Amino acid sequence: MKVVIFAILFLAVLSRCDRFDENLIIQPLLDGKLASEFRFITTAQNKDHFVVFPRTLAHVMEKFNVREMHLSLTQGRWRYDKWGEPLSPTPVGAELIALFHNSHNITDQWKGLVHALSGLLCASLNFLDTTTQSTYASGVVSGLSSDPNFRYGTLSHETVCTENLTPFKKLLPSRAKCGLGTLLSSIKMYDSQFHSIGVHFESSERGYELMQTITVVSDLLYGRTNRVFTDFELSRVFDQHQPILKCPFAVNTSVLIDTSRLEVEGVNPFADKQIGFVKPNNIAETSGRHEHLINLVPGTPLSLKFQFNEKVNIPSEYPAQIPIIATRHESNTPITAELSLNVENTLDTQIVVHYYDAIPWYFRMYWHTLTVVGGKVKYINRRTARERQRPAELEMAVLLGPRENFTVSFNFDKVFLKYTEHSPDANRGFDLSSSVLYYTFNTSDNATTIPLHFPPHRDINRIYTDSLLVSLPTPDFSMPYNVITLSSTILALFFGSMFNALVRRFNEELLPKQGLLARIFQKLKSKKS
Amino acid sequence: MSKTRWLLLGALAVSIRVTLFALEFDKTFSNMVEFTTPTTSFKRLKEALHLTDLGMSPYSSSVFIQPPLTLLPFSLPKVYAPSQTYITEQLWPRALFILLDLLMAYLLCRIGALTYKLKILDRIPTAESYYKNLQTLLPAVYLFNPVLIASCVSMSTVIFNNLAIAIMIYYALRNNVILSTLGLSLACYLTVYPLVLLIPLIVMFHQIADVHAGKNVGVNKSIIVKVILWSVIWQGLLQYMSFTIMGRSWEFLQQAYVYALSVADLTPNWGNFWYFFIEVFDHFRQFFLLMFNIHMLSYIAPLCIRFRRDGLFISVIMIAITSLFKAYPTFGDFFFYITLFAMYIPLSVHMRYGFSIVVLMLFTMLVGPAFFIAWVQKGTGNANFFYFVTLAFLMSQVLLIVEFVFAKLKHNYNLKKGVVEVTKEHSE
Amino acid sequence: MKSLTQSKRFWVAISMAIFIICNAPIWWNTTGAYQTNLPHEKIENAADQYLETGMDISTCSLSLKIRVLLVGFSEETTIYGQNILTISPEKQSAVSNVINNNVAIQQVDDELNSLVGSNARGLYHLIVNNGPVSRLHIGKYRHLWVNLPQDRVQEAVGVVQFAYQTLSLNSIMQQPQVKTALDYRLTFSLLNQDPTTNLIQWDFPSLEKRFLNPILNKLKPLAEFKVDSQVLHYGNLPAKPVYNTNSNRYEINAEDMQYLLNANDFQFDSPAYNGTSLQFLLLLPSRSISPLHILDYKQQGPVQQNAFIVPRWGAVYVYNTVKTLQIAQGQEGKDAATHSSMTKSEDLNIMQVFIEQFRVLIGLPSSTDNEDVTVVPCTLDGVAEWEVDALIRIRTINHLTSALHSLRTLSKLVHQMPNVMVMEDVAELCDKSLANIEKSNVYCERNDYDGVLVYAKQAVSDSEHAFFHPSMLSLLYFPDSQKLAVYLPLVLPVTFTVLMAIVREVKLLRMKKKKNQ
Repeated sequence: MKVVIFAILFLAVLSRCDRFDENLIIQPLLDGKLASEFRFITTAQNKDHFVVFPRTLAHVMEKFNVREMHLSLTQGRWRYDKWGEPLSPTPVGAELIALFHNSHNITDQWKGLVHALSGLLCASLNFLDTTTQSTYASGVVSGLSSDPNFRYGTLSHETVCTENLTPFKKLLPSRAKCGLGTLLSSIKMYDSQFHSIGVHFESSERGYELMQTITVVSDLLYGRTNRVFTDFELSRVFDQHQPILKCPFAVNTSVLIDTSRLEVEGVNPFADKQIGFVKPNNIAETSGRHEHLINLVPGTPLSLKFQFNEKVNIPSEYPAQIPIIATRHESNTPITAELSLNVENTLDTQIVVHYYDAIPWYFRMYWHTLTVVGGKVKYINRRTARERQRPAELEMAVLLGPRENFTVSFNFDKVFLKYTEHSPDANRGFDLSSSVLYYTFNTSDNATTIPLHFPPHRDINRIYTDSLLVSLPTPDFSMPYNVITLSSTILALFFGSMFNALVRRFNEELLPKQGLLARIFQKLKSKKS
Repeated sequence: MSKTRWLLLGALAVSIRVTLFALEFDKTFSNMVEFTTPTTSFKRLKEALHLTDLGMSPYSSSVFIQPPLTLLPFSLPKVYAPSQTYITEQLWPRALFILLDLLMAYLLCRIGALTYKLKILDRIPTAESYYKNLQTLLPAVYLFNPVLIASCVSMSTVIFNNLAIAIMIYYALRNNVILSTLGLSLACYLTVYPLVLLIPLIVMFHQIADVHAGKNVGVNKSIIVKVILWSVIWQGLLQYMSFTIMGRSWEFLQQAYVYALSVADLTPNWGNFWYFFIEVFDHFRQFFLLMFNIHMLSYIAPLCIRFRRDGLFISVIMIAITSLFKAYPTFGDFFFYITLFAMYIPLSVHMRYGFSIVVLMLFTMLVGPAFFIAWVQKGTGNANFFYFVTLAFLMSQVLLIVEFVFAKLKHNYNLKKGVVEVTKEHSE
Repeated sequence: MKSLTQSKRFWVAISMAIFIICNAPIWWNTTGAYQTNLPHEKIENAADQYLETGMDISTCSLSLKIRVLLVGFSEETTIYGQNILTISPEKQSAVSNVINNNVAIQQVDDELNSLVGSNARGLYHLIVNNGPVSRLHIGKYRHLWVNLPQDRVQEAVGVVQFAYQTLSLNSIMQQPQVKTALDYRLTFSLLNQDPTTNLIQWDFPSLEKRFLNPILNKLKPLAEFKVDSQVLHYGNLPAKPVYNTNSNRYEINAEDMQYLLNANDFQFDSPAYNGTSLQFLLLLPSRSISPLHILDYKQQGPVQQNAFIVPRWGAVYVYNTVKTLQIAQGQEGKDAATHSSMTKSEDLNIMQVFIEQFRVLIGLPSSTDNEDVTVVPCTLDGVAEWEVDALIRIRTINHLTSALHSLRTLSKLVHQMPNVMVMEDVAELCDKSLANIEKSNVYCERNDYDGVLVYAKQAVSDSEHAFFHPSMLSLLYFPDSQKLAVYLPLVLPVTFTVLMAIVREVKLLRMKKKKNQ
């Protein structure tokens, strides 16, 4: 399946004209859900004159000297146990990966890029440029990316809603009014368990290339209580009943239905069962047992109804569908906390797992408490944090044998922040964003650098762990003047009493005549004692 | 003090501490903010040692904010026995802290003996026996004070500061300029605050010179010059040593001194500063920072004018003031000067609020940790509870110091007027 | 008896007081905003010197000189009070021949330029030819010509006056021009309203090369121009066009077309670009509402050229392709091919309209303005030399005025708000800007058009950078009453105690002295 898509991409890039291609990949999942990914690919040859490419985005990329950029906005958790490998791996919240052309002034370029993208997509990504709210790698950690022009940042707290989808749709040349874009209904999309929008940009001597992706996991059972697969109709899944026609200016519009996820060892609900679908009156090419590709033809609307010839039950237990399972948890004590990550190899072969994590500076990491139990550590790269400047970065590679697991754990202190450094919803806590795990079957010794490029077009696959929420103790926000007054009072009190003691005269007669008030006060005092 | 008494005292103290270490109380105490602060935390020192082992500078992260030479006692054994990690990492630090406590007790014993011999404490006839027993009393008070035991078990490096100051006082009493300035420079090297002790030290030397000469010697320029010169030499030496072990770079200055003075790390402690600098507006931050740090200097001149002949008392008061208004004080600091105040207990007959002070101190010390846990761990309390308790504690210390000054002044006045004083047992 | 200076307590109090006084500068320095010295005086002087009081416009005025050439008149003919240029009789006859014999004004213009053209900016030649009265012709270069008979030769004075007015473009104040800036980005957008029925492509790079580059090169001294283009699909018209059976076309009102450009449908602004942009939109309506014409406000007839200018933004041109017209007229079937590119003549047509609109936006008169004058159209590069001169004149004044205003406002602002942080960069930029203004005025007196423009542009750029410098955004505002609340708990007890102690000591010693006397 992937080969087909990349063949299209390759051809798109080779041909010497501006292209717009639309692809939709539909994959039914084991637990009755449907994963769909829309891919809109636009290319531009000329960097000033655009036919399908969005001009505003091109200007932003050009102004900030961006060579490659990957932005994803995700909401929901990808259930690795039930759904297997994600179509495009993304962490929860916002993630921005950027590679710049030249390395001078990268901080300003990153800052400008982040602000421009927030404006373009109505997302509050501007927090990515302050080091308090995000994990922010500068790419100088050797082994991760030896390119000093590399920047990476995530915001786990970023929510995605229709406000982001609308400008996203505007970036498409079809403006979501023709072709597969018409299936993008905000209501249905944001009513799903997992959705992610992505913008991937690459600039080369051939020109610009942009891929916009939307991944949605929708529920097919529609509230039906009997856990049985029957059929689905595309227009019902996306709640769009208008005819889907190919865009006149799109070169290639295709829909790929991939049922490989339903054929899982040990479960096999569809073993030997016929999967058929009501053929729409378009040309359909079957390119494999699991894959059915439909190319849209101009003028003929697409209507797709997918039918299982026999009833299929949803399994109650799910076998492991991805090679590694990673869980992360955090335990709390008064000021210190412990973070541990457990990775389990579910295969019968060896696997190398690369683990990258960036701990924000407001969790003070203690490197001497870093312990790895299990597996064989190939290398550990560290980069210490600096308060209010950069996060701590950890990267390691562990060789896992068949069915082995390893655990990484370390302690960190919670830093007490200034009054103004807390966010408005301070009691919610701070996010510890997802760690990135790569696995590769290449167990040779020289596998040290892993690029964070997308799409994964080598034998490197990527998964993300969950993000965690850690609560930092907050000061009382209503107290600035009180605190200033009280602390100054202690000082002034000490000063006053000390000074009075030092200039005090014990001889009563020599004291000058006191004023009226002082005499009254003196009388009261003597009456008391 | 007789050898048997010493052995008894020492053995008892060591056994208490060893028991607490064995029962793993060091883990509890080293996490309590009463005993460890960012500038005295042993955990951070371990982190810095680990970073040096990995080949990075200990100052590469913002964790370690002490001067480099504090790493030396803990990293040296690794050079000689790199494989014996149990001894070098577990046994040796604990043994070192216990040894340092014993050394401190020894110094206090000698200080007590010397003050009695030189007769520089206040002349209260009925307190003669008290002064005679100072050489046993001071180390005992130090070694068996539960707070100070906990401070030792928590492995906080405040013992280095206290030891340096004790060295300074001891050698000043022995009229040894070179070694007492070593103590002062060491103390200044660790934190900048003991700088205020330079002038009281000079006054102390004058006081000792008066005692030796038997009469009132005026301002002795040679003492002043010697003290300043040797302080500068020792300080220069220490800084140069740090410069060398840090690979010939001055980067440690920023983190060891400027960072701590500018209260960049806002971990709660029992001082006046942390909550203030969490809440203060940025507009005033710099001003208040400078104010809080500089105002300690303002007490030197008045105290020296009023107690021209009692350098020891000025030093003790200035030590108390610096501990009170430090950026990151611990109970180790507070109770060190309280131990030194034991030399002036006979003056307490003139104190007006002694009982209130003691009660307030005890109350706040017991309630404070509870409120801290309620705020940070349980989430049921507010930062304000802890803050107010620390304020009350600081109030009690303020009163304590002022009371001692007042008592001393009253005593001096009575001496001038020829009134005979009695100790507390014979008072009303 | 102890005197004041022997009292220990007095010295204690005094030492405290000295300490407090010594700390006052620390307070002053740490709580104020850092402000460098701006050259306030110099700015005031420059404003007084270079701005015309009352009108607040720069006094730099590049001059415009017209020299009159009398051709074919008798030797003694002269026109009172005008600058007359004399040329040899052979040349006179050559000129006369050119004017009288050629009918095509383009050729006349070119040949006159080679004969008596002026190459200096601001200097124009008015050729008065002996012949029957004709209209005033203004060429593409820097000359004008008119025919006047011998007996009416004195009317040339009036002609000269008229020429002054026209050449200086004084009447452009009301035109919807875009703001005077130093760099412009021109964006040409092709909007296929309904791609399923009507999908047109254009090859804009070649259009740019053929049509835009000449005029933009000519205008280079004025500002930097960048061109880009895009193709958009699916736009909505703000109202439904009505089919007019009489004229066989769809019509939409100009009032409705006001709402065409809304942020919901189109995104023209780029978040990465801060400068001025000119947008040119070519709207190709869907076949179902083709051909589409815009009715003007009085609904009397179609708007000229089916295009309109949006002030300070750009222009829109609703274009019915030849093919759609053919379909409407029945020459082609309704289901004719929807995809096509435009023909060469269509390209020419479109670009002509765009260039015309661009000229208007830049501030040049539209070709239909002048009724008494024949202006030779610039077919090669779209803008005449004298027009460039006029623009330089106008822009110089605008730039210098704007620079002086910015500086003066900045100076006033910094005076009134002591809380604004003013860094060294801002002061440097102010100085640079003032220096450039001065240089500009020096060149102005020499009437050097190019020199003045360069320095005027630099001056306005520096003044804008100074005024909008990002470091000045952080305003340290703290209300005074709250400052009091913050300082009081610390300052009051301290100073009060010390003061009281000093006062008490002085009183006491005075009392002692009195007792002893």
